[in-house]
Amino acid sequence: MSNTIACFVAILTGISVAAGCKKGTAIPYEPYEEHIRLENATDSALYAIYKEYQTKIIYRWDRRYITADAFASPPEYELVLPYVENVLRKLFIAPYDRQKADFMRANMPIEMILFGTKMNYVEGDERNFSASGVAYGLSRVIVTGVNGYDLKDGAWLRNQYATLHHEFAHVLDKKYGRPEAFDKVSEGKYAGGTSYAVYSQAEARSRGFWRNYGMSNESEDFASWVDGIVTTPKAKVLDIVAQNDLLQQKYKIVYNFYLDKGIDLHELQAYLQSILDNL
Amino acid sequence: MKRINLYITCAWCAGMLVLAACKKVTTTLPPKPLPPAIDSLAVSYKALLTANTAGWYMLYQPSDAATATAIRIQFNQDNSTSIVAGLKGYHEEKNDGSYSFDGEYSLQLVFSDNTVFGELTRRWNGFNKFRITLLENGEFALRRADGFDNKTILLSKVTPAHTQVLNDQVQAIYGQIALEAATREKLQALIGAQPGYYFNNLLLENFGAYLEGIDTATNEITLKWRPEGSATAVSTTLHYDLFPGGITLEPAIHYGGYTIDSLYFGAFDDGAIEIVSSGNAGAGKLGWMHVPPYPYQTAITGAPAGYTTADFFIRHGELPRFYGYTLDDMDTYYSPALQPYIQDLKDYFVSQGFKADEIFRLQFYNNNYNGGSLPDDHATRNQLQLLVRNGAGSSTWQVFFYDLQQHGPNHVSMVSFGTSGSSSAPYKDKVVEFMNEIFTPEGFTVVPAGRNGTAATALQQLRLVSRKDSRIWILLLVANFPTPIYFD
Repeated sequence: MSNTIACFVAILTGISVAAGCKKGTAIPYEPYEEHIRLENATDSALYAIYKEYQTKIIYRWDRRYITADAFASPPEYELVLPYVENVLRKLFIAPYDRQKADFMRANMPIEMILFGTKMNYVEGDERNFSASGVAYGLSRVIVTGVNGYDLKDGAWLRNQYATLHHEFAHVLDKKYGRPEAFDKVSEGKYAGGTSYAVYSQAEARSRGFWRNYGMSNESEDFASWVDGIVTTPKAKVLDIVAQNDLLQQKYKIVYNFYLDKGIDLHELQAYLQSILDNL
Repeated sequence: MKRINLYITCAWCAGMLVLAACKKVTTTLPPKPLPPAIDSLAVSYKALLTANTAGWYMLYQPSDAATATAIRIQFNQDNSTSIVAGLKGYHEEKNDGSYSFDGEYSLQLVFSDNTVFGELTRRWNGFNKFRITLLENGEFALRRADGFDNKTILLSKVTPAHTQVLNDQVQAIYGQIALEAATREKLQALIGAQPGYYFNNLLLENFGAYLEGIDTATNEITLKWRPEGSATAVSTTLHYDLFPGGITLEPAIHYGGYTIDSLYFGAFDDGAIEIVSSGNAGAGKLGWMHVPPYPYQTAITGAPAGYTTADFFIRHGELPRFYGYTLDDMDTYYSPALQPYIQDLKDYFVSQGFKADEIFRLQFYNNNYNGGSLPDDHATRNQLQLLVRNGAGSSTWQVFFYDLQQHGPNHVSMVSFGTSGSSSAPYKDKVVEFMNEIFTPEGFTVVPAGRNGTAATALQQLRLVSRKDSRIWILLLVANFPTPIYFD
C-alpha cells in the first residue's frame, strides 16, 4: 500500500513538474517613443504650453463639450495662435507666474477648450442665457469668444481676461476650497430660485455681492469677486467695499485666499492694466 | 509514523518543485532615470556658471518695442554678479547685483531687481526670472519664467564675437551721451532761466500745455493741458529720455489726432527751447513766453455759454458796461516792469499840480454807454480814466479814449485815438505816450486772476498781460454787474 502511495506521489510530481516547466515568452519591453509632429507655429505654441504647464489647449470642435440645449461655434484656426500668445500667455499665465514661481504649472487646468463664440442657451430654463466661460471642476475650462480677437478692442480684451480669471477662480476654489467663512457672509441672501437678474447692482452690493451674477450661488459669488478685483483699480475696490461690512468681509476673505498662495490680486490688476496700456 | 513523515516530505518537496517550475518569465523594465531635484540642479548649474570666469553672454529683447540688449554676466561664488549691458545706465560694469535660483517644478535663474534685468522689467515689461536648461553644447537655454512668451534666449560663454557686439552697443551709448550733453545743457538752461515772462509753456502748432516742472534727477516733465473736449485741465507727469536731438516722452501725449512722442530741440534762446518737431503736432517752443498755451476757461456763471474774458472786457454791444480798476498798492496792481512807467506818470501829474502821490488809479470803462448821458459814439465809447486828486485834494477823472479789437478768446488789442476829454487835453500827449508804450499792437491777454476774497460777492479780478512783453501787466478789480460774471 505504501509503495502504491509512493508511486502515486512520484507520478503526480513528475506530471506537475513537466506541466509547470512549460515556460512562457517574456513580453518584450519597447519604450514609448513620443512622435510629436509639430507642423506649424500653432502646434508648437500649444505644445510648448503643454510641456510647460501640462495643460492642453484644445481648439478642435467637439459638440460634446456643451450641453444639447446650447449653441456655439468653433474658433477660427488663424486666431488660435495669436489668442494663445497674446491673451492666454500675456493676460492669463504671466500675471500669476510673475508673482509666484511655477504657480500656473501647479494650478492651470488640464484642459482649456477654445470656442469661437459665446455659448448661447436658447432653450430650457436658462433661456436667452449666454455664457462667456465654464469651469468643469478643476480640470477643464471652456473659454469663449476667440473669434472676436482684436487687441485694439478694449471691451473684448477686458471681457476675455475677466472671464479667464473668473473661471480660474473656480479652479482654485475646487482645488483648495474657498474658506467656509465666505459662504456664511451672505447666507440667506442669495437669489435662490429667483433669477439673479431681477436684483439691481445696488441691491446686490447691499447684500455683500460684487455683482448680481454672484447671487447665483456661493461658487459664482466667489469667482465674481475675483474677476471684479482683477478688473478694477485698487482704490476703487476699496471705495466699493467700504460701503458695508458684508462687502468688507468678503473682500478680505477673497484677497487673503489668493495672498496665501502668493498672489496679490491688486498687483495682478495693475499688471493687467499695464499690459493693456501697451498692447 | 516515519513512513508518513517521508510521504509528507516528498509531497512538500514536490509542491515546491511545482511552484518553482511554474514561475513564469517576466518582462524586466530598465531602471527609470529620475530627474535631478531642483536643489541639486541649482548646485550643479551654479558650479558651471561660476566656473567660467570669462563670463556669460546673452542678447535679450524683452518686447517687440525694445531693442535687443547685449549683456555680459560674471556669476560669482558668493551669488553676486558683475554685469555690463548695452543699456544706458548699465553700460559700465555694475557689481552690486546678485543672482539666485527659484522654482518648484523647473529651475529658474533669478537676477536681483537692481540689475539691468530690473530696468528691462520696469521699462519694457521684461522679466528678471528665467527658466534655465543646460544644453548639450554647454550653453544654457533661458526662457521667461512668467510665460509671457515662449522665446528662447541663449546664455553662452563669452566669445570675441559676443564682446564685439557688446562693445559696439556700449560705444554707441558713450557716443549718445556725448551728443545728449547738448540736449541736457539746453534743459539746464531752461530750468535756470528767469526772464520774468508770465507764461511757461509747451506751445506747438497743434497742442499747448503749461510747463509745470522739469525734474532732471528723475527725468520727469510735468505738463498741464486740457484734454480735447474737456473743460478741465489735467496735470500729467511724463517720463522723458534724452536723445541726441531732444527728448522722448513716455507715455506719448495723445491729443485729438495728434501724438507727441518726442520733442526735437532747436536752439535755446530768450528763455525757451525751440521745438523743431514733435511727433505730428508741429513745431513750437518749450519754455518762457508771452502768451498762454490754450484759451482760458469761459465764464462759469452770469454769461452765455462760451463767453470769454475778451468778450467780458470789451462788452461789445452789451450793457451794462465793463468797469475794471486798480487801487493804489503798486506791488499788487502793477507788475515790477510796469511800475517805473506808472511812477513816471504819477510824477508827471505831480509836476502838473496834482496830488498823484496820494491817489492815482487806472480805470477802464469799456462800452461806456448808458443810452443817456454819454454819446453813443465809437470814438468815445472806451475810456481810460485816471483817477487823481487835484491840488485842492478833490478827486478828478482824466479821460482818454481808445478803440478795442478782439483777436481771440482772450486776446485784445487797444489803440489810442489820441483824444481825450476836454479837461484832460493838457495831459493828453503824456498819457497817450504812456498808453502806446504799454498797449502795443501785439495786444494783451485778458487773464482771469481769481477773486478778491471768498465772499459770494467777491469781485472777479482780471490781469491784462502784454503779448509783446508779458513782464508788463495790470491787475484789475472788476465791478460787479447786476448779475456778476465769474470765470474762476
